Amino acid sequence: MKGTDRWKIFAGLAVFLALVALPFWYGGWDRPTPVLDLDTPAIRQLPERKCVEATPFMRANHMTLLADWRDAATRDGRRIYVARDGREIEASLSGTCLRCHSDKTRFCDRCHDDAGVKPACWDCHVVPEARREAPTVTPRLTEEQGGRAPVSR
Amino acid sequence: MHRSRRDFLKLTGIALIGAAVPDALLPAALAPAWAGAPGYRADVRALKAARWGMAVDLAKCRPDCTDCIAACHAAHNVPFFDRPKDEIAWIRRETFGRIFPAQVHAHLEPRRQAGPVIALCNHCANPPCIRVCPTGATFRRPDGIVMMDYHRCIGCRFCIAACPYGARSMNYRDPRPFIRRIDPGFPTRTKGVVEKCNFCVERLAVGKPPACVAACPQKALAFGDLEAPGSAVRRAIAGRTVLRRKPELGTEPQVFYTL
Repeated sequence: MKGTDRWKIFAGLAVFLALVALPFWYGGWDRPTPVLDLDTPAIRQLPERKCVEATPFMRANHMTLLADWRDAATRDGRRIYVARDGREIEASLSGTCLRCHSDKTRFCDRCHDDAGVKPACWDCHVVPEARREAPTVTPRLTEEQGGRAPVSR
Repeated sequence: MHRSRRDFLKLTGIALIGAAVPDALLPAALAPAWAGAPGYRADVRALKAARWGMAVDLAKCRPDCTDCIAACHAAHNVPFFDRPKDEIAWIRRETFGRIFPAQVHAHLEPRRQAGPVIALCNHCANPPCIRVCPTGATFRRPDGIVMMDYHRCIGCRFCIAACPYGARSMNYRDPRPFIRRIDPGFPTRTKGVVEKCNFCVERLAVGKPPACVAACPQKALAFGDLEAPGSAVRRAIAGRTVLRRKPELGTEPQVFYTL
C-alpha cells in the first residue's frame, strides 16, 4: 500500500464512524433521564411502597417477568405469583400492574417512548381509565440515580 | 493455525461436558433473572375437573331469550359488528334444523325445526383445531378445555377451516371500537387473531361457573366434570337421549344437547 492512500482510508473510516454514530449526534449524548410518575392514588395508599419485586429488578426485568406471568397464567393456569418475599400477587397486567401504575402515559410510555420500544400489550389488555384526583406534579430531572436508569419518585 | 483431528475431538468433548453442567452450578450472574423466585400457584378458589363439559336442555331454552349470549359477550369483550361477514360470536343462537340437519325429516314439526339451539365451542376431546394450529396458540388444558393463547395467534385461520362447528371467529377489523362496554377485567382481542369460547377459564380460576350458565334464567345449561358421576352435567344427561353435533366426525364434542 502506498503511503499516499493511507489518509484516504482513515478519512473514509472517520466519515463512516460519524455516520454510524448519527443517532447519538442526533439525540444528544447527554439526554435527560425519563422521569416516571409514581404519584397515583393507589400507590399513595400502599402501606409500603413496594412493587412486585425490588425496584432495580423490575426496572431491568419487568418484560421477562410479564412474559413469564403470561405463560404461567395462560398456558398453565397458575395465576398467582409468589414473590421472593413471599407475597402472593395476581399475575395480571391490567389487574395488578395497572392498578397501581394507573396512568400508563406517565409511567409505561415514558420509558418505552424514550427507548423506542413499542410493546403490543395494550392492543388487547385494557388500560383502565386514569383516575387522578390531585393535580400532577411537574416532572423534575434528578441526578442522583445517574446513568440511563429511569428515576422513580 | 494448524489443529489436528485429535485436538478437535478433545475440544468437542470438553464443550459437551460444559453444556451438560446443570444451571444450578453456574455462577449467579449467568442464571436467569428470576431464578430464586418461589414461583406460581393456582388460586385456592379455582374449580377443578378431570374433564369439563356442558349439557344444554333444549326443552328449557326459550326462543326469545339471548341472556347467555349477552352475558358471555359482555364478560369477554366480544365486539358487535353489523356486517354478517365480520361477525364474532362465542355463543350463537341457531335453529334446530341448522345445528342438527341429520335430525330433520319431512314430518318434523316446523316449530321444532325452527326452535332455538345455542351453538358454542364443543371443547372436543379430539380437537381438529389444535392439530392444524401451526403456532400452538390453540391448546388443550389438562381439564379438557380447548383454549386459545391470543399472544401466539398469527391469524392464519387454519383452525377456522378445521373446526366443523363454526365455533371460531376471525377479527378482520380492530374490534375495540365495536365493543359496547369494555370490561377491564378481561382483555380484548386485536385485529388479526381468531377467537372463540373458552368455557370461562378466567371465571373457573376464581371459583365461578361460566357466565352463560350463571346467566341462564331457565337453568337450561348444566356445567361440570364429565368424569364425576354426581356432577351437574352428568345429572343433566343421565337417562336422557343426548344429541351431539356431528359425532360421526370423531371429534368427541363435550357439549351435550338433551331434548
